Amino acid sequence: MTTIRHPGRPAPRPEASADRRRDVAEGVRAMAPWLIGVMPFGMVVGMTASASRVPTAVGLATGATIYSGSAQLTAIELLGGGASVVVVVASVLVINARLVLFGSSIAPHWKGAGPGFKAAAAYLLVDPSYAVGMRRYAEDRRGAHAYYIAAGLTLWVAWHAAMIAGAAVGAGVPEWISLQHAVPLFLLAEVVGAARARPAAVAALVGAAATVFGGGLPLHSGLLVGIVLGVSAAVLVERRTP
Amino acid sequence: MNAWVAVLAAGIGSYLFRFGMVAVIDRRTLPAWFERVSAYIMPAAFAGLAAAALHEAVGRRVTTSVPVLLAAVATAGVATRRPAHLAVAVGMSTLWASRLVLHLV
Repeated sequence: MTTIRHPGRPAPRPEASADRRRDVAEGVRAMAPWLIGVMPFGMVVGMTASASRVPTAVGLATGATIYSGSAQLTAIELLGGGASVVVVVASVLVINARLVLFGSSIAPHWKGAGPGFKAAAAYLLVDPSYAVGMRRYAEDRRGAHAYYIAAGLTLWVAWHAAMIAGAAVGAGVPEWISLQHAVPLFLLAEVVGAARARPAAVAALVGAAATVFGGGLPLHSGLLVGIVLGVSAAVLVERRTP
Repeated sequence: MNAWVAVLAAGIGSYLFRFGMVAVIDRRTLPAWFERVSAYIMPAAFAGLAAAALHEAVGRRVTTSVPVLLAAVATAGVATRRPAHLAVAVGMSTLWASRLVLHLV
């Protein structure tokens, strides 16, 4: 990233680039723990892509286009099962509808940023980058853009490396390792660690219950229903607590 | 060919989801209530994703369900005091150990 100098604006401080480097390094480091849960999941997506009846290249391309593990898995499985384009696209969009909510909650922090930053930042937006970014924006806004992009790129690169490795290894990973369980366990740990206050805990519990009970809803819309009900329940609890 | 169309269309739609609100919010301010409400999106979404995946993994047979449940309990327990990556390490170890035990019994 280059710094464009505008006439009339003060020249950047000499220590600015050192600050930037520190923000980038911190962003990369903040994403590292997530990779423990995410990379096994990426391998599962790659393994599914190589086992599917659709060409492996199509399965792997879901990474750069759809870029959300659960939606990618659904797309690959539906395509392999011979589902129509409309069903595949609709299912992916329903699963990814939570990104609209993520976008609207992180977007206020991006106000006034350049169009290039916003286009890239939005592309990298997915559960882990949202969690890591929101935490930093809440703590200290200075340098948070560089931090977010660094964290998001780290995730993107690691995700693709894991998918490609999974596709290459194929069925070579023994089943008892159960790589696919690492992500739900990581999300569970994140929620337990973050949802200390009562309304947040209620949001998590109601969201979990509603998603499970809504498992049979058409087009995988259970998660969306779970989020809406969880957030609503949390707001109700928050109003009651003085 | 159809598969490529589906993946591209789903990708374009997903990007519009990611970028849509960013473009809208750039021009106007969100009501104050939304900022408060948005704090609960993450716990609800992450818990929902985790619960759906674990629910699917549990299934009906004891040999498959017990290890997953034990792993979830261990992960949640460790996560109350320790960072998430340690909790996952403990959870996954619990999963493998309990499977091994059930396999041997």
